[in-house]
Amino acid sequence: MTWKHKNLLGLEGLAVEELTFILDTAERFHEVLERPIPFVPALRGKTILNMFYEPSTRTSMSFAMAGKRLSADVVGFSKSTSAVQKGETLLDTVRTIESMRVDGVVIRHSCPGAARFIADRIEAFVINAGDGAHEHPTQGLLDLFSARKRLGSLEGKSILIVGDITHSRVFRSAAVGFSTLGAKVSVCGPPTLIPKELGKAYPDLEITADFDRALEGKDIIMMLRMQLERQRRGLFPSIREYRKLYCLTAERLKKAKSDVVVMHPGPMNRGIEIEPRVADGPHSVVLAQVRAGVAVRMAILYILAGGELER
Amino acid sequence: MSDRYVIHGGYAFFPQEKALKKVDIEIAEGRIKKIAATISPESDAKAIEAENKLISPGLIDLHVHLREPGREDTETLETGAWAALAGGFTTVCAMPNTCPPTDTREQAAFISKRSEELGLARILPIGTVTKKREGVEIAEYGMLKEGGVIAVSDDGDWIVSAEVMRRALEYAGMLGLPVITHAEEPTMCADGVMNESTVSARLGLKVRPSVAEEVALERDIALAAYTGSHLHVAHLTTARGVQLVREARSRDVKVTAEATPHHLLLTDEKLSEFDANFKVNPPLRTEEDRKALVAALKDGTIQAIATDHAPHPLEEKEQELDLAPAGMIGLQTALSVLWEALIDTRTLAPERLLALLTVGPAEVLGRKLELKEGEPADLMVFDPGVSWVFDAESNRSLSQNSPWFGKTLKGKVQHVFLAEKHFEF
Repeated sequence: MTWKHKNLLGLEGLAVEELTFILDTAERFHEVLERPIPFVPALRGKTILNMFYEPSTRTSMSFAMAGKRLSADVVGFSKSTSAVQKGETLLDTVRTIESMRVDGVVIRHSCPGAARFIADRIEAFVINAGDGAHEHPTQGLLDLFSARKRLGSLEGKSILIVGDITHSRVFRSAAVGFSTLGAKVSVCGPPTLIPKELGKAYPDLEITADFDRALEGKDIIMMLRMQLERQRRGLFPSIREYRKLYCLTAERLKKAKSDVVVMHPGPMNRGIEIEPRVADGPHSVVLAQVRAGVAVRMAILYILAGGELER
Repeated sequence: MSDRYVIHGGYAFFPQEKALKKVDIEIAEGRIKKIAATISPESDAKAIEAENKLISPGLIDLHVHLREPGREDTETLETGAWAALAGGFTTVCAMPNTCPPTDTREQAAFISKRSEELGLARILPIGTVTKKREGVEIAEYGMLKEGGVIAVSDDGDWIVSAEVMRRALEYAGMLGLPVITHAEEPTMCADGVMNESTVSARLGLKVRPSVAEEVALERDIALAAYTGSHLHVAHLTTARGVQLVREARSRDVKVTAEATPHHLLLTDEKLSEFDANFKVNPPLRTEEDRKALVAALKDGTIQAIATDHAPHPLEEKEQELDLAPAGMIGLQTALSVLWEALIDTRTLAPERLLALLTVGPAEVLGRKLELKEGEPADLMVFDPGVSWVFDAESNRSLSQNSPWFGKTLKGKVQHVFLAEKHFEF
């Protein structure tokens, strides 16, 4: 198929065929990663700039690795949010990038819309690597990829996303991606961590606070990272109470389907939202997700850069 | 320049009757000399053709931010007064959140005096409710009034302490000054950039929920009822807020309210593109809220349309939405965008719109407004059929943070008569 988007800013608005095309392309790169020399010359001569305005280890490493596996020149910088607020504006950064003439920009930023802000102002393609609580499309893609690998088609499957929905870009990309591919999406968490109008915003979404009931019959459980900062803002009372209500334990997992897939975008709070023996157990695809992340990012870099794939 | 004018054939708005009539108006030496069905042209009078145009008393804006003193890079009293005139406003009320704020007689007198020197749109200062806008001690309203202050407000911030608000209402009430409230409970709005809605749920943006307006209004209305003083609600935005004001007015609580053109015409869907020109406090709300505001214009729950003209420089607006300041300019575009959206669509009667921009705000300030012979000429002529582009060339403000910037607008103010002067646009 011919790809018609300059950027990947979110999974919202992508058609079934487009998502499937990215995932199918990622399958091919997933095989490349199995090779003794896991490199292809597809993006030789292209320059990718990785801009991380927020702390990140796995996503920034994953993008750097994806670029290098495609033989692109990868340049990166990271900056803490507070330094950004004091220093150079994003607009000036954009102008700087334009004058350096890079081919693609990967951006992680704490403000929703930051990737869009850059994309509207430069010629290079832009990949959103997470913009605040808005979207994290490559995470969504790797979640789809991992689930699809384990379950085959996602049509008619059910996924339960658990935890801090309000502040989760992982949720927003996954909710759109999974439902586009025909899965039924449910979310679970206390009302303090779920946006008030969520049900109206995503009419097909099932919303519940009762974790034990919600687990019944689910094909996929995605646990979100619980951030301690939310406690200080009064959104939940304590870790021990959160654990009691929303920790995915081996005992609880029995309520889901016997072949249930357990996902977590990482980094995990072991013993808070997920019990270690579940995180490391047979249902968990947490590490497979990480490898899928490299393949999926290779795929989207390749597609947006319009590179040539070796046979 | 001739000091005698005859405006021919226009529809004039008479605020005392809240009616439009086709008349000729003669102006001589800064006063309305004659109003009649036809006035025969005199050789020394300048004729102004107003066929199919509107003539109205100069518009009154209860809510502008003119940034002087402190941010003269974004607006000055002079540029703000020019933007006002170009938009048909001959009187504007300047909010006190300048640097330093208008919290003393000297600060208020500076604005009043400067307004007189300029001889452009009249600028009436609003004083702060509390010293330094800190929400702690009430300001010297008696002395502020001597400096020309016509109301008090800590606009931008709600008065958190109920005790301070009670005393402010009592003390301002003694002096006949309305207390203008920015009704948004702040602890619910921390770092918020948009309304809490289906749109915010999808965009992941931090919120300023509509219930924050309700919570703040419920308390302020209770205190207005308790003290018997005049509470004026700045930029009302929610359907529930409209209900609260309507209900309080039916109980004869002294509450008046204003709405802005942007809350009357735009909704939070506009944030979907992450354009900071749509970031404003209180935020743009839902279509349901917008419709409730329009209904409140019709039934008299809202007495005034005010622009909340809030200049910000391009470099601060062209940022991530979380970092960009809130607010948009509106003086020069208000009448054009309101006319096209509400009158051309027959949503609102033209008499009602003009009342909301003239006699309505005048009454909030406790003033009478009449169009009659012998009065000083304070008029504007508006052609609803003319198109113009709001761009760098036509813009009179020092700032351009408006969603209508760069757009072609329909309806333009062409003449303003004020204090023996004639301005042509």
